[in-house]
Amino acid sequence: MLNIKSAHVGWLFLLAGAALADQPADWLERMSHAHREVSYQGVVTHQVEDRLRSYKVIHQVRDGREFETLQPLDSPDAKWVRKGHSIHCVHPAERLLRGDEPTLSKHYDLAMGERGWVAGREVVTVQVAPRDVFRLGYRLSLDVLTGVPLKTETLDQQDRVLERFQFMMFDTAQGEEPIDAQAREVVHRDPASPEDRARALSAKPWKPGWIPEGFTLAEPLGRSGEALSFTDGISTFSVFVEPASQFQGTPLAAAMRSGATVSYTYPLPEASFVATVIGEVPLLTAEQVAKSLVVTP
Amino acid sequence: MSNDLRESLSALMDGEASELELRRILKDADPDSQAYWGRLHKQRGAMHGEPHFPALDISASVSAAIAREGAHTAKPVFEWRKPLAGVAVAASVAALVVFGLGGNPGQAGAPLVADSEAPVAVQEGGRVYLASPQTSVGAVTASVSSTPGSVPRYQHVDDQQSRKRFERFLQQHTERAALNNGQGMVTYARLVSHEAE
Repeated sequence: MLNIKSAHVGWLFLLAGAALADQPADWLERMSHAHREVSYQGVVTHQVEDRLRSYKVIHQVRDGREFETLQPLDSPDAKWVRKGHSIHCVHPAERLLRGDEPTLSKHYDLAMGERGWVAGREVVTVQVAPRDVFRLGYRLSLDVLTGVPLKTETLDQQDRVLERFQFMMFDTAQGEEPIDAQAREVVHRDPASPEDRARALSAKPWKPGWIPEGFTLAEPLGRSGEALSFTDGISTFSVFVEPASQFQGTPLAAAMRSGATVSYTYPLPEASFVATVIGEVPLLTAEQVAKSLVVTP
Repeated sequence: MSNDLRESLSALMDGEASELELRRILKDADPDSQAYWGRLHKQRGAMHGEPHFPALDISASVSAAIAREGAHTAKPVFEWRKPLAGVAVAASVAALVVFGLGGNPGQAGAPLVADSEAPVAVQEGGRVYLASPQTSVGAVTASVSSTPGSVPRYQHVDDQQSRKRFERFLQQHTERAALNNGQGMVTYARLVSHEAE
């Protein structure tokens, strides 16, 4: 069910990639390995409009497993930790970027931008521009040496920046021990084959009647099993369905936004369910997916 | 046309003008400034790759919308020229926008974007720019058509229940997005940034 690749092959790929990759698709494929397989640490900022927050991030790979920490630096809030995720576990989006099912360039125009510097390191920029109205655009600045994204800008349909992740400091030295007793083990089940996806969807009493072309089921099982997530390789949205009885008063159609993330809530007519679509997509997409929901009694 | 007015029109175009300013501009607008507005709109549209709708008299439809809105005057103007129309990002928190079921025209907080009668399917340079919000299931293809101005009737609300749901869904969504967007753990910054407000 999962693509198995040895860590050594991954590293060889990274090293070879540094010399060879000059096509945007090659760089995106490198990125899909690098952010999982490279050990790094640094300080990253997240910017939405005039709001800027910084975080210390540690990503270590030990014995083929990822250990990650994200520590807010502007607040006393607890850090987020994850552990034990195998780097051999290939996620649906990675499969889409790694060329087994090369669909990204069908839905985005990919282009190389100028080289530049982020966090004192040389980067190449990959422009990912949507070819239709149903997805956002991205400007990804990838570390030339490792392929790790050091700056990521999410753009709306008018090329305005909705949010920006940017490293201020980044290094790949083995540093602090990130392993934490509090860390949550990453558990997820991704449907690998089209048959798995079809099975996962048919097992649900509801499903979207429409999703934009190029999106594929990423995760059929939420922790409580009530959600479906879809990805096109770089954008992700999730669909939630709740009984209308959970609402105080009559549920209303509603739209919300935070940075690049929008949500659209839609009470399904003649059904006692409320659909919510949330993700890094244009509101139009969230709205259309929510309105397309089909409930089978 | 005065420079002040010219600047105001420019600010309006950028979605920065207040409602008072908007009213003043529309009141003072003479044929000269109407022409300037048209040019400005065209320029900005070209800059952002937006299609240009010469037949759309925006100032007239906005005036009409304001007239209809009647007593609802105290609210700040939405960034109505943007496609998201009303779903503006607040400086610190997610802006919550709710619109009436079925787009009831009698809904309070009538839109600042009047319904446009100019449905246009636009395809430029291989990109489709607009799509109809009323999608028939499964029927969306690359040749979707649309109505640029027909934005649903939005109304600002901010209730605790909706906010909590958004945060809960954002958390669950982020757990999956982090596995599927090439960013990994850094994605969680979205969550922390949101909660920190």
